[in-house]
Order: sequence, then C-alpha cells, then structure tokens
Amino acid sequence: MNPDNPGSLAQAAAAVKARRISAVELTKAALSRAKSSHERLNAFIDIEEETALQAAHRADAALARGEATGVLHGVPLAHKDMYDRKGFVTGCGSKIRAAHQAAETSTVMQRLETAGAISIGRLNMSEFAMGPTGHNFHHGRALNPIDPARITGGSSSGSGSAVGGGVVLAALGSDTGGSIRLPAACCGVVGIKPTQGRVSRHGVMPLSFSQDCVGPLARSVDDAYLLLQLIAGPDGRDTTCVIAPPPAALSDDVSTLRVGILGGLFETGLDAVVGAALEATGQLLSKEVATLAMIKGTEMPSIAELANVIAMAEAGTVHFDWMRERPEDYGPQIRMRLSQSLAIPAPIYLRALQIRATMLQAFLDETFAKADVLIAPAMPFLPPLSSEVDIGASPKMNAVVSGLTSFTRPFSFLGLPVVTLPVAASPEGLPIAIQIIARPWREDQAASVARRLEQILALPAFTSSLPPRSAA
Amino acid sequence: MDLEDVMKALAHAYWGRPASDAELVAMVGEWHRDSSSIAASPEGQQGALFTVEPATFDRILQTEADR
Repeated sequence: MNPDNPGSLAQAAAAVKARRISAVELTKAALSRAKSSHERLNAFIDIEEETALQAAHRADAALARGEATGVLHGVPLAHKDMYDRKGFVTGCGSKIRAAHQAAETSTVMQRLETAGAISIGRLNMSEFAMGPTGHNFHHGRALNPIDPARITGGSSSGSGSAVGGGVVLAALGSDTGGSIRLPAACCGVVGIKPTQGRVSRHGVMPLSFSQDCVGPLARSVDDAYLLLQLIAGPDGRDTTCVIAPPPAALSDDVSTLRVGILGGLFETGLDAVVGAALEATGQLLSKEVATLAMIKGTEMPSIAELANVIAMAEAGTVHFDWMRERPEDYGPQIRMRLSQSLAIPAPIYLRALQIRATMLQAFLDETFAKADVLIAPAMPFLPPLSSEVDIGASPKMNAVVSGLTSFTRPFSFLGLPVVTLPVAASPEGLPIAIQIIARPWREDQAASVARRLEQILALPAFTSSLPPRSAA
Repeated sequence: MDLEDVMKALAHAYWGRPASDAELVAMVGEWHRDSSSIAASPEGQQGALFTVEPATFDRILQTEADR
C-alpha cells in the first residue's frame, strides 16, 4: 500500500492489520502531508509529531503481540481543536483557551483511541466554533483545497480542508448550525450531522447546548459512517445523549425508500447551477428509489432566526464570564456575535424552544408522512470567495451568517440527522453539495441513499493530487 | 431612552463594562429581528404555545428512538 494513498479507513486499517504497511509508515506519511500542506491549507493549529509517532510505535508493537483489535488500528486522523484529550491542549481556535490543557479525555476521542486511531494534530476552526465562513482572527483561515481564494466553510474549517486536501482520510467536526455540512460542501467531501443527542458531548467544547452535534467529515460515505458508528451512543457522562438504537448498517438497496425534494424555503435564492445539479441528482435518484416527489410548501417561517436565537442565547451563557472579564481577547466578529445574547429576553429564547418542539412534531407528521428521506441543497450558491464574506465585525455580519446557513440551520433547529455530499461540479470545478435528511435516529437511511448516489455519480476527486473519491 | 441606550444599560448592568460600538449594533439588530420574527411568529398565536414545554422536543426525540 502507498502510504500517501491509503484508499479508505477500512483499507488502511486492513493493510496495517495484514502488515502490508506499518502504523509508523502511515503516520509518518500523514505527518509529512500535514507539514508540507501548511502553506497550501493552513489546516492545522498544531501538529503533534512526537506523540503521534509514539502512538504509532505502540500500535505496531501491539499488533506484533496480537493485541490489535480496533477497527482503526494504526490509522492516523486529526480533529477539530475542541475535543479534550488528557494532557493535551484544547484551544477551541481561540486566544482565550490557547493554553488550556485538558484534565481528561472526551468520550469521542476515547472511543476513537479505543478503536486504534492515532491523532496527528489539532485542526483549525472558527474561533469557538462560531462562524460559517471559516475565518479565524487568531490563526488565519484554513484554505479551501480546491480553490484557495474560496472559503472552506466553517466552523470545522480545518476538518474540511485537511480531508478535502488529502492530509487525513477523515476528521471529526462539530455542527451547531451547519459547521460540519458547510465545510463538507465547500471542500467537496462527505459530512454527517447526527441526530441531536446521538453522540456524547462529554469533554467537547460547548457552544449551544440545544444544537451542538459531533460528527465526521470524510472522503466517502462509508468512511464517514464508520466514524459515526464508532462515536455514537450514550456514555453515562453526557445526560443529553439519548438511549436509541445504534446507527444501523447501511443498505445497498434503497428501492423501498420514498424520497422528497424540499421546495419552499429551499428554492429561495438558488443559483441556477445549484438548481440544475439538484434536478439532475433527482433524475438519477428517481431510478433507484421507490418514489421521488417534490415537497412544496416547506416554508418554516423565521426558522433561521429561531435557530439563531437559541444558539446565541446559549453561546452567550457559555461565554458570559469572558465577555465580562476579557472581551478584548475575542476576535472582533465573535465578540460582536456573542454580544447579541444580551439583547435576547428570556421569554424570546424560551419561545424559540417551544416553537422548536411544535415545528419538529409538525415536520414529522406532515413532511415525513410523504417521504422517508428528504433532499435539499447544502447552500444556495457555490462556495463564496473569501473576500466576499470576510466581513469581520461589520454590520453585514448577520446577513453573511444567515445567508450561508439558510439551508443548514433548519435541520439543526429540528435536530434531524443529515448527510452532506457533493453531487456535481460547477463549470469552474467547484463542488455542489446536497443535504440528505432523515427522521431522527435514521442516519442509516440518509447515508444509504448518499452512498448509492456516490456510487452512481462516481465523481472524480475535486483536487488533482488525490485519488478518485470512488476509490474509497 | 432609545433602544441603543437600553443596550448600553444592559451591557453595564450585566457585563460591568461599556459595550463597544460593534456590540451595540449587533444587539440592536438582534432586538429588531427577534421582535419582528419570533415575538410575532405564526407558530405562537392565540395561545398556541400555552401548554408547550421546551422539553417536549426531547420527548419527541425519545419517542422516535422508541419507534
């Protein structure tokens, strides 16, 4: 196996297990890519060469003793800078937490370590995961591997950049209003935002208690789903993590599923090239599924602002002390966004939560009565130029944030699972991505449809230095 | 007292510091958006939310998990 082309997570792990390649070789290659890609991607806040190599040596030694049982044994990964690992810094892409050393390990990182994965560093992100563009006042923005003039999307900017740029096969991100889905869409990779409460957030940087989700970005649906399966499920330490059936195995047969393409809100302001890609995807998919129908009237009035009120009120609570004590240590845009929390009266916040419950029930009763999975664009337009959306603390900030998240926030508000994947390339080679949405806890249905689409589309890689996505 | 003065007072009272100009702009903008969209939401008219507890959302997800 070529250590710079390990194919998929399963292939990499199988090669290590069969000793066709060592964990040290794979890790050295990933570290080399991480270092050599710094100017091209700025995807890493910190590369942990020494500890990663030590872990790789331990992995090879364990294999030699016949103790390698994890499904990712010896496979190097990297994750957004917000997951605690005992003794390591969790910086949250910020100045305020830049030297914060974790006292214990988060559940998601513990589960990946138990599976045998090796962490090679901390990935760039929007400061405190606030920012759909991926800009970071302190660390600079991660660069889009397809076109560096374009944004990566955020807040999991480094995850999108590192995975799309071929540094690692997969990475964890987090999603409160689109922070996994937007980087996946902009960087041409797959992202999964799980059902609210699917993955423990113990040891994970909080932003919005009600909407934060941990999930994977990867180069294929299979890889992303494998990571989700590894991290899903209660741990007894995050009381908001729901006891639910674990993510079911993916099915090759999607012929019994009814698919709905969401209209209404999700047709608003759509670029022609995005609309055409969605239509072509629908035509292809219609041959694979039981029914495919347009679902009109999905208006969901004010849903973006409802989601924003919950996110900002909760973020303002999380950051209350530092907004009192050291506001100058935030980047200007984050400070500006956090200040919004003080203008949200308690009844307005709680009213948004009430409406959330009623809207979810109505969506389940009405929209999911017509379809098992739903399709919507990830963004109304192509990945924007960085210069178009680098607005700092300008009064335009809210328009930029709401414009980028207009199609992603509704599903954060509703707590639904979503798989995002690229389905087409624009004439200039930029990815066009869709969201596939399922009922709560049915990530398997959304991902099965996504995998079928991935197979029939067989898109080439968006970056020339990488193997085809279909190879994974 | 105009709206900006209200926001200045909130910042002083809760943060113990003056709000910056950018913060004031953001706070006033939030106030306007919420008062027009959430206060007047069609989802919550004529007592429609009178008996809805926010925790209902979690119950719905649990019910779905038990399906």
